[in-house]
Order: sequence, then C-alpha cells, then structure tokens
Amino acid sequence: MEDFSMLRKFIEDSDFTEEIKDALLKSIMLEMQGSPALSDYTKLVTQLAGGISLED
Amino acid sequence: MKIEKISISNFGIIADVVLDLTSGNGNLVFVNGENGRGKTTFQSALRWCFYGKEPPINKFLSSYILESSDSGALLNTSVSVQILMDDASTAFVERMQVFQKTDSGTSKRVGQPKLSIKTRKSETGSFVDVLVDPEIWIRKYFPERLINFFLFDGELMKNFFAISVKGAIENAVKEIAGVDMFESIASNLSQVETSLNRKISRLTGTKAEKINEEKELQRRLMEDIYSDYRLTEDELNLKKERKSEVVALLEGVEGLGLQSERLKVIEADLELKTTNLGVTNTAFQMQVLASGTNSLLQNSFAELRKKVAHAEKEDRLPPPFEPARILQLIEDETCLCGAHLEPKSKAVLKLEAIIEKYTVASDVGRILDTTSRQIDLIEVELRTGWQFIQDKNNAIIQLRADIDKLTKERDSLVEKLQGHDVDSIRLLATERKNLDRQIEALISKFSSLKEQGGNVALVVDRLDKEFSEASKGNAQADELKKQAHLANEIASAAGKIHSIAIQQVRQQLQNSISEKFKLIMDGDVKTQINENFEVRTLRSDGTEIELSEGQNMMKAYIFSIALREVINLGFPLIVDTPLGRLGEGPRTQLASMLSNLLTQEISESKRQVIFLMHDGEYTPYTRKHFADSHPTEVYLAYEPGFDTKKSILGKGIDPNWLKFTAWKDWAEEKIK
Repeated sequence: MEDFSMLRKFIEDSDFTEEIKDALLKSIMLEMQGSPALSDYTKLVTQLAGGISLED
Repeated sequence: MKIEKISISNFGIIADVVLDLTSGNGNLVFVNGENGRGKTTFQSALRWCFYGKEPPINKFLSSYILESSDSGALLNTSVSVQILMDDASTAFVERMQVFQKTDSGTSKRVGQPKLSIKTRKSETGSFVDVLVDPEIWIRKYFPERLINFFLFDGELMKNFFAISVKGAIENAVKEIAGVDMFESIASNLSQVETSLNRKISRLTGTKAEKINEEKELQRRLMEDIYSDYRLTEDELNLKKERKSEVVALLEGVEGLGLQSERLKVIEADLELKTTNLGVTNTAFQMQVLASGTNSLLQNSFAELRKKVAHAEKEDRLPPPFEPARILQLIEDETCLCGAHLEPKSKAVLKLEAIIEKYTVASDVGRILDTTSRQIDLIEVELRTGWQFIQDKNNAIIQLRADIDKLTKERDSLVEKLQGHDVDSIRLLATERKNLDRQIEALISKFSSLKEQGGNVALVVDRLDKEFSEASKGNAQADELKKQAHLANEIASAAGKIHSIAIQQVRQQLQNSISEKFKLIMDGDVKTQINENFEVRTLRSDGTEIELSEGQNMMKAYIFSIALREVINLGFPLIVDTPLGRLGEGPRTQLASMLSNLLTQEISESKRQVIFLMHDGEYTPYTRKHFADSHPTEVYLAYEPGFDTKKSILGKGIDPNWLKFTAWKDWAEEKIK
C-alpha cells in the first residue's frame, strides 16, 4: 500500500532491533486489516515470543 | 496512478457512458455540464466503485432503463475503472449490482453488489483476477479514510479550514498519514501487557497481585507525565523555531528596533519635560510678580524702622498685651501666676499704670507697631520668594537644556529610522523578549516533568523487580512474563515512532505547503502548522495574512495536494464544483492560481486531476488559464428526447453552451 510505505520507512529508519521492527511491521499489517481485536495482538505477541498460547 | 477509462452503466441519470483517457492529456480532465446533467452522479459512481458507498436508492438504477424494461427483467448497474498503476501494471476494477423490475414497476436488488478486480502486468498481457479478496485489494490502494480529501465537493473547500472544529484537521492528517496506527499499536500492546501481568499475578499469589496493582497505578501516572512532557517538548520546539526566525529577521536591524524603542522613550520624555517647563515658567513668573511688588515696599522699610525706633525711645509703642485682660485680672484679684492681687497694692497700681499708658499711646504708635510686624513678615516672604525664584530659574535652565538635548537626539533617530518599518521591528523585538521568557518557563517545566517522570520510572522499576521476585517459581508465569516483556518493548517502540512520525509529517506538510504557496502568492509568505495542526499563512515577520474566499479555497487545494505528496499517494484528485460558487473576479483569480499549482502537479508528478464543472464555473475566461495544459474536455448533456432522464458524454465543449454570449464570442474567436 502506498501510504504504508511511509509507515514502513518510519520503522526502518528507527534504531530499534530487527526483532522489534519486525514486530512493528506485523502490528501495522494487523491494523491495516481494520480494527484488530486485543486477542489478535495477544496471538501476535505469543507468536513473536515463540511461546505457547496461554489464552483463557 | 492514472485512470485510463471510466465506464458507467445504468447508474442514475448516466445510462451508458465511457470516458476514455488513453489519448490526449489524461492528467488534466474537465468533465463539464449544466446542473442536473450528471456531474455529481459521475462522482457518486466513482465513490461506489472504489468505496462501495451507495447513492440513495432512487438515484441508483437508471429510471430510464427501469421504465423501458419489462416486468421481471434483470437489470445491471455497473461502474468500471481501468487504472494504470505506479508499477506500470494495469488494474480493472468493476462493481456491479443486479436489480429486478417488479410487477409494480419498481426495482429490487438481486443479491449483493459484486466487486471484481483484474490486473495485467503489461499492456500486451491479459487481465487475470487478483488472488486476494477484491475488497482487501481495493482498500489497500484506495483507503477509505482518503475519500474526503481526494474525492470531494469543491463547494466545501472555502470552508475547509473554517468548519473544521479544533482537532479535525489534526485527526484527519494523522489518520490519513496512518501515523495514528502507531498509537493504536502502542495502546493495544499495553493492554496486552496489562492483561498478561494480571494473569501472572493471579497465577502467583496475593503479594504479586498487590504489587501489580500498584505498578499499574504508577504506570498510568507515568503515562500522564509523559504525555505532558511530549506536549511541552513540542511547544518548546515551536517556540525555539519561532525565536530563530525572529532572530534572523532582526539581524542587522535589531539596533533599529532598540533605537526605535529609544525614540519612543524620548518622545514621551520630551512631552513630559515640555509640560513641566510650561508649569515651572508660570510659577516663576507669578513669584516674580509677587516678590517684585514686595520689593518696591522694601525701599520704605528703613524710614519706617527709624520711626518705630523713635516711638520706642519715646515709649509710645503699645504694650505687648491686651488691657482688657489685665483689667479682668485686677477685678478677679488673681494674678496669671495664681497669686492674690490685693486691691491698691503696688502690683495692682503698676498694672493700672500700664493700662493708662496704653490708653494714652497715640494711634501713630499702634500703626507703627503693626507696620513693624508686617515688615518682618514681608522680609521673610521676600527671602523665601527669592529662593523660590532662584530654584525655578535653575529648573527652567535645566529643562531647556534637557529638551534641547532630547530634541537633537530625536531628530537624529528620526533620520536614521526613516524608510524602515520600525513598528514591525519593535513588535519583533518585543516578541523576542516574550519568547525568551516563554522558552525559559518551558525549559523549567520540561526539566521538572523529566525529573518527575524519572522518579516514577524508578518506582516502576522497583515494582517490576518486586513483581518479578514475588511471581517466581511458576513455569506458566515465566512464559507469560516473557510475552509481557516483549509486548512492553513493542508498545514502547510504537509510542516513540508515533511521536517522531507526527513531527515529521507536520514538518513535511509545512514545507510542502510553504513551497506551493509561492506559486500562487507574491511576497515572502510562509505556512506554519502548529502542534494542533492549525494551518496558518504568515508574512515573513510572523503576522497572519487574511486570505480572501478564493485564496482560502486555494489553501485547501494546496493542503490536499501537499498531503498527497507527503504520504506519496498517487490517487487522482477528483473534485466536483472545483471553483465553487464564487463571483466572476474571485473565480478567475482562483482558476489562475489553480492553473499554476496544477501545471506543476500534473507535469512533474504524473498525478491526475479530474474536475467536474458547471457552466457557471467553466467559462472561456477560466478556460484560458488552463489552456497551456491542454486539458481533456468532455461534457455531460441530456440525450435528445430523454430530457432529465438520460445523459450522454460528448467531447469538447457542449454545443448548447456555444449559444451563450461568452462561449459564442469564444467560438467566434472574439475571446482567445
């Protein structure tokens, strides 16, 4: 997406670690899909942490 | 991105229209038409195609096609757009809705609208369906939040900034640029972290739960402090930026500002001293008059004093007390000292002798006595008067010298300041002083917030450690801690990028708008976008410029185009009634300014602009401003025999318009 390229640039130009940059890009993708639920973020964090889901 | 072809079928008054932009200048397109011929319908069709925004049901399916069909017939409404994408591929977007004519002659929907999208990689390739969901594809390239900035009604442009309630532009810009996503990410991940910490505390006992509650409280406090800190930082940066501008403006002329201040002081001082001189002069003269009269009397004082001495020698001056009072003492037989006064005693006889002496004292003696006392008074008055005159005289000499000096200084300053806008310089000098004070206060607030934030951060750190300690020894909790930590890190990063992104977007917008304003307005004009995203147009000295209605509309166009530039969006600018309902003069002025702006926009960036104009807007006079760009001109008009029900699209200028005076003159080449 064209305006996403600007957001991507903000992330790429930042000093964060590659892991955090990747997490931010994935978060942007979640947002782009429109109004993500908290559970979507919980899943993302679980996946990024490489752990198991401990959802209630 | 460029629209190559638009096909509209059975949509409102537009029964069947194809606008092919593959030849000629497809970057600047004017779709003209009188009111009611389908310009707004044309835009509405594009809104439906790109965004799924449906028109009112009575303006959806063409009444013409409905009336001319049999009951039960299936009727298609469709809008398709062929677009040349920035990567040189071509996309074919089509949205379609099927209706059926009912027995009562109305229409009913058959199924839902269907969006289909095909793409081809090159001109020679063939179109294939996109692999993703077409709605996701279209949202990717035509985000809904852009709709009001790029597919809009020009009539609203003149109020673009005025009607925006505080924060509306700010929100729109942040939303359009997408930077608010970072805020949303930060907020969502903070919630994830909070939720994970609660789970951890539930898994590990009461102590951990209590610590976690306190930690949540402290973190909220830290967020509040941080928010205030950010606002203060923004404000401080703006003030510093403004100070640099003011300092630059004052460079070389600041001395004039100080001199101008000095002139102001001198003028006030001169006025005061001149008034004082007048008052002192009057007092001086009054005293001279009074003392002069008295001094005339002074000549006779020596003779009078001689006579008094003679009378005194002859003992003809009255005693220094009242005889009636002495008689009263004799009658009361009591002395002033309280002693008894024996009648016929020596003391009484002496007192009676004094009374007799007074009684026989001549009138001349009494007059001499009185005169002698008055001479004493006059001499005292004369001494005081002369002192007063001397003081006033000195004051007058001093005042005259001061006035003379100030007048010379004033004349010299007036000469130096001649030809300079000293009022502006003075205002700038004052502004700089104020800015210094404000910056100092903000730095102090900034430091204080930093310290407060630091203290709370230490508390949070301590609570983090305590929480970690209290929740030890549980494998599940350890797993969740890892996740909570990561959520915290990402949230914090998103928050930081959000701040940076907002500042950068604001700065880029400000630069782009300032640059574009130079194309349409002479003089040193600049744009300032403050922290609330209020867009101000300023002179070089920082004062705000009052814009005309046309200039305000232009400012809105510039803003919109600058925004497209900043977020690198190639989507065409499609405007209904772009010149609004302005009078002839402002309309021509706006057309001229727009032409300057768009010439660059369409030539340098290959961006496309489509204007839908009514006959009051598009006249030979407005046309001539765009003539050099060779726009593609088409018109919407009623198809003969289908008045008000069916419009068709023609090339060039509507032949009906050529009957109007101005267009007739243009056709006859009386207007170039």
